[in-house]
Amino acid sequence: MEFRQVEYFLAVVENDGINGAATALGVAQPTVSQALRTLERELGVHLFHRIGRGMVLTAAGRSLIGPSRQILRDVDAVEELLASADPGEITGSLDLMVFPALATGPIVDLVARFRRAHPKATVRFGDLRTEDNAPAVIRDGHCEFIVSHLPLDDGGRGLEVIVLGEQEYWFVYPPGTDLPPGPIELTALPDIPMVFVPRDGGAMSLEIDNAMRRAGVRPSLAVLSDHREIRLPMVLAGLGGSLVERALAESVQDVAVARPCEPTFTRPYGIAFDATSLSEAGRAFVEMVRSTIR
Amino acid sequence: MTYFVAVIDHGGITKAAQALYISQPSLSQAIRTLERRLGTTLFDRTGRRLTLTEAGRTLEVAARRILADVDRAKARVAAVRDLEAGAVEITTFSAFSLHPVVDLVRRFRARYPRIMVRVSDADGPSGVHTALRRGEAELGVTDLSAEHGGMVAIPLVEQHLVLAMHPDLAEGLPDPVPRALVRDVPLVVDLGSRADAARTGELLGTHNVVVDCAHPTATWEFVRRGIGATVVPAPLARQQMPSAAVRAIEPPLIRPVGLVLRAGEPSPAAAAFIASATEQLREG
Repeated sequence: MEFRQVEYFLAVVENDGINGAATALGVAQPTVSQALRTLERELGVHLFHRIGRGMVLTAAGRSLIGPSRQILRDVDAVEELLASADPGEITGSLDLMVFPALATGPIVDLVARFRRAHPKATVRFGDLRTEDNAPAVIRDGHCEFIVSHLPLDDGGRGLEVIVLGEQEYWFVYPPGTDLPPGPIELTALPDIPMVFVPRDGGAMSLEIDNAMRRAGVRPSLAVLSDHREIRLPMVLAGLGGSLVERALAESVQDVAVARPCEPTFTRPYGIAFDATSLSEAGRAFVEMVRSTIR
Repeated sequence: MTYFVAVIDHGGITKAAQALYISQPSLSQAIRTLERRLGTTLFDRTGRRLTLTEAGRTLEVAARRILADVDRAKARVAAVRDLEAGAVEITTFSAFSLHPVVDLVRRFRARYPRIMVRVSDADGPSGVHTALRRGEAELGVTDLSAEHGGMVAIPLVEQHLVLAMHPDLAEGLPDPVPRALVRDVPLVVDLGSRADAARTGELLGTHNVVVDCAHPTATWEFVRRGIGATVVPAPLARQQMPSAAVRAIEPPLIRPVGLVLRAGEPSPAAAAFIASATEQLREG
C-alpha cells in the first residue's frame, strides 16, 4: 500500500467520485482510477461499487476510511516535523469532531488558544453528526478528539474524558418582545411562534421534547430548519422565538429577550480521546485543556 | 346525506326541495333510493307530518357527524389552498442558509403568518436536485451557476463574497485583496463542504487553512478571536461579525443565487413564496 493510493482513495470518498477527486488533487482522471484499481487489487477487495457513473463505498471501503485518515495525519506530522526548523515546535493537525450543539464557547476558546500557542499547527474542527456510538469515531480513527454530551455512549470504554462544562438551554425571543421578567415555564410558553431545529441537541433536546409532550405543550411553529446556525438570525429578524444554548442566548441579551427555561435542563459535556495513541499536537492540546480547566 | 338531513331540518320534502333548489319528485326519489340502499325505512309517512323512524333517528346522528367531518375536511383543504395554513418546504445548504434565506423567510412570513416554513439541509447543489426530484422539498435555494437540467430556475440575487477578519489581521492588507495575496492569509473555512470548497478553491494555499471548521457559528467565533479570516457573503459579515474588518476580493467572487423547482404548477404556498421572493428582487 502506497501513501499516494491512500491519499487518492480519500479524495474519491470526499469528492464523491473520480472526477471530483482528480480536480481536487490536480491530477488526471486516469491516474486516480489507476491508483484506485491497484489498491483494490492489492487488498483483494472492491472498495467501491461502480454504479453507472457513480461510486458508492463498499463495506470494505468504509472500513478503510478511518485508518486512512490516521495514516494521512501521521504522515503530515512527520513532514511538518522534518520541515520545521525548530524540532521542539508543535506541528501537524489537531483533529476534533464536535457535536453541533456544543460547537461554541469553551471549546472554541480552547482551540483558539491552542492555535495562538502553536502557530505551525492546523486544526480540523469537524462535525460529529450524532452522539450515538460517538466513541467509535475515535476507535475507528476518524479523529483524535470528540466533544460530546456525557456520559458517552457505551461509557466510552478505553477513552479518557475531560469535563468542559454543563450545557443548558435558554429561550430567546425577538427584540422588543414584551415578557415578564424571570424564567419561561415550559408548560406555559408565551403565544409566540417558534423557530426550531429538529433533534438539535441530541439526548438533551429529546428530554425537552418529551417534557413538552407530557405537558401537552405544542407551540406554533414559524420555521423548522435543519440549519442550526439560523436560529439566532431568525430570532433577531423577528421571525419567532427559539431555544438555544445558554452562552448563545447570553451573547444577544442586550438586543433580544433571553430567558432561562423552567424547569432547567442541564447536561455535562466534555472532550474524549484515546490517551494511548495521541499525536504530538493532540498531547499538547490535552496538556493545555488540563491546565485551563480546573 | 345532505338531502336526508335537509328533509329533517325543513320538516318535509316540499320545503326541503325548495331550499335545495331541486324538484320535489327528485328529492322524494333520492330519499327512497337511500332507504332502498340501507334496506330500511327512514321516515314514517303515515301521518300528515313526516316523522323519523327509529332507524331514521339513528342515521340522523351519524349523518350529521359525517357532514361535519366533510365540512372540516373541506375547510382544511381550503385553508391550505387559501394560504391560511400548511407549510412550504425549502431545501438549501450552508452557503445560503443565512443569506438570503433568512430574509426570504422573513418577507414570506410577514405576509403569510400562518404558513410554516420548513428548511431542510441538502448536500450542495446536487443534493438540492435530489431533494426536489424525490419530492422532499418543493423549492431549492441554490447556486444558479450549477447545472439545473429539467428544473425551473428563478434568479434572485448575486452573492458577493468577501473576507472577514479581526482588524489586527487586516492590517496592511489592501482593499480589495488580490486573490493571490489571500493565499498568505490564515483562513477558517469549511473544506468538507463541497459548495464552499469550489468557491474558495483558488484562495487556498498549502498551509493557509488554519482551522477547517464545519460549524458556521464556531467559524464566526474563531474569526472574532483573530484566529483567521473567513469567506462570507458581504451582508453576513456585517450581521454576524460587526467588529470584523471586511475586504473585497479581486477579481471579485460572485455567486448567482436563485430558486429552483420542478417543472409544473407549484403548490399555492410555493407560488406565494416565489412571489414574495421575486417581489423583494424588484424592490432591490
